[in-house]
Amino acid sequence: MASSRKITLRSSDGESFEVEEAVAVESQTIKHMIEDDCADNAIPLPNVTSKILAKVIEYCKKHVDASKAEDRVNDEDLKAWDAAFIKVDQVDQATLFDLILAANYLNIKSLLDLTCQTVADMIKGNLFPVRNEWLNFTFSIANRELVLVCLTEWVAHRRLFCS
Amino acid sequence: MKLRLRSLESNDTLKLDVPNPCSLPQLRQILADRLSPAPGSSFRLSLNRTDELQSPNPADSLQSLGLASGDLVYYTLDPDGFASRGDNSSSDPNFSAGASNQVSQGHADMDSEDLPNLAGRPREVADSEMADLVPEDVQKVEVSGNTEDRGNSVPESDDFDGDGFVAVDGSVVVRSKFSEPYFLRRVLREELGGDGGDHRLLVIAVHAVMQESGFVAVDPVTGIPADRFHLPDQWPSSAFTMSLRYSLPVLVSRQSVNMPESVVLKFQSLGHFITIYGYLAKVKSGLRRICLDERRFAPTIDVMLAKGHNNVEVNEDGGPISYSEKDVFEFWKIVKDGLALPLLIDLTERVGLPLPSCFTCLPTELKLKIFELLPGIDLARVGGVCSELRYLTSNNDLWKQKYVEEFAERTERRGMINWKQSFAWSWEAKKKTKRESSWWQTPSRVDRPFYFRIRRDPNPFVFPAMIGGDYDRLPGFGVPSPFGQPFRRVPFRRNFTPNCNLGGLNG
Repeated sequence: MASSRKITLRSSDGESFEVEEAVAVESQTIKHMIEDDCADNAIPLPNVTSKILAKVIEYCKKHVDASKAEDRVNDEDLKAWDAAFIKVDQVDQATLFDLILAANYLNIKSLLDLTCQTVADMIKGNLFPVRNEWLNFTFSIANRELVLVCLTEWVAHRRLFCS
Repeated sequence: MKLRLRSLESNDTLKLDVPNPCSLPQLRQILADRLSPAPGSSFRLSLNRTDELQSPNPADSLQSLGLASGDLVYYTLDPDGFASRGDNSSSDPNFSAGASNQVSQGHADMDSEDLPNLAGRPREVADSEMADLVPEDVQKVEVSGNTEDRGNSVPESDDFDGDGFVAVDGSVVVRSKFSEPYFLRRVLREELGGDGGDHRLLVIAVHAVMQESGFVAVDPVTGIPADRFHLPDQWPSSAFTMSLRYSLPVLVSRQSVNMPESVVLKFQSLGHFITIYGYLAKVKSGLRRICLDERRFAPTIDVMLAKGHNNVEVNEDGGPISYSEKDVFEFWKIVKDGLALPLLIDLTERVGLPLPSCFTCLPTELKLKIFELLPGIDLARVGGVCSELRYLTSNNDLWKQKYVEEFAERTERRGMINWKQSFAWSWEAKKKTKRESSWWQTPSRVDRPFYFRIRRDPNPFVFPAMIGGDYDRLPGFGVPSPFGQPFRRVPFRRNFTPNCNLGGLNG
């Protein structure tokens, strides 16, 4: 087992982050890059900005540390930490979506699940009211559209049953 | 301290280690020693490639000029290499005209106040940040590309250079430190010459958030990017209004003649509240509004700013947050999510640029992944937002999963089942069984199928008025069998619901 080799990750805006290999391979993408031996110099991550990369690294580090310690004991603590990490009033929407995209690109399943669950909770909890700029659309249907749909279907139905 | 010196012409970078304290002539001498036999004094140095670094007092240390460890300094032998913008104050009239129509220009005061107050961060550095912002962003396709140094991982340096920063001391420590306060602090430090009170603090803080989102301030008259806001020192303590204009760097570079598409922010203060309205300039639509309580946020920002002043470099410990950073976050979040992001989305949508990070810009499989986590009703609500989302949420397998989750019914069915409709009917049935008692008391229109709930139209049953023929004689005609569930339904004529399903013509 490679003993804490340091890997350098470079974000899209040119900042370099040095992390232990164990932390870096939380990301399947990076893991494959290392296995394919592309990791001599810094690994470039053109889709991730430094701000987001810093957060991702923080997340991975915490999870690696937690798994190194006693396994089951820190489960709830870890969950609590996760909740605090992604807490709605700490993270603004742009960051949240950036995190989703980064977790998707870097293929970090747990982070992806966490962030998607957060978004789902936001939709569920209707934290974004009816006139919803967050989703970039309004929540009220274009009434004309619905009537049109129903009307065409009704006409078709009528034709089917009455002729 | 370590400095990087880059030639203006050839872009070669030298790394120099200069003693602390060092003065400008000494630096030139060291550079000369390294490079060429030319005397040190013929070297011109600059931070932003535009303004030359000059020290009126040759013994001034580099720190007082605003250089810190890790900074990138450009050098050239050409005496006119850095075509200075002349007198700093002569550039003001261009931009001061742009600050706002109702605010008087106190820029002369600003300049003289700036240098002593911003202990070591002269205007040219601030300008370099702005100047760097514009060209850097132009090269990036993504509007939301942030070129500023986030300051997250560097222990000691305020480097504004956008391109390729490598840590000074060779190892980078990743801090669990949020970057928003740092960014805010930095912009505040530059813009805030003196102390303009709460109003000014908040206005500039909002400006910082807009900047972070990728906006660049433009002069409302000419449409060119404005480097600094020349806000007066004395603001009327009671109600005031002012407006600022922002655009995107891409747009600014694209249209050099006319006013680029921009976004206007109007500030209105009333007592201790500031209301900020934002809208697209040309279209004047999509008004966004946020309201900030000065009493709440200004002190926090003040404290944070003061804390930053004490150590010009970044906080040493990224650990426990002493001052109420939570409040700063809240401020940040309110402005960003309430104002900056929606305006950015509006602007990019209007102009046709790729959207910033928002739900719609997620790839489809991620959207579906999120939908899987939603309960049925919320899925239907999302589906009611627009036709694209309706299409996305009409996936039959997705609805099958929702049906099973909600009703835990048998899942093997004959043939093709429209699960969305099944869900709708079952949901409706469930609701009805709860409402049985009240149903008898209100015989008039009671039934509303599930999907009609989403409608805002006051008279959803306009089309049954056209029904005649078989549907009148046999009111139950065409009502589908409710998939095996006991479903008492006395069909009223006006409550006829055609057997349609959204997204299909199964009849």
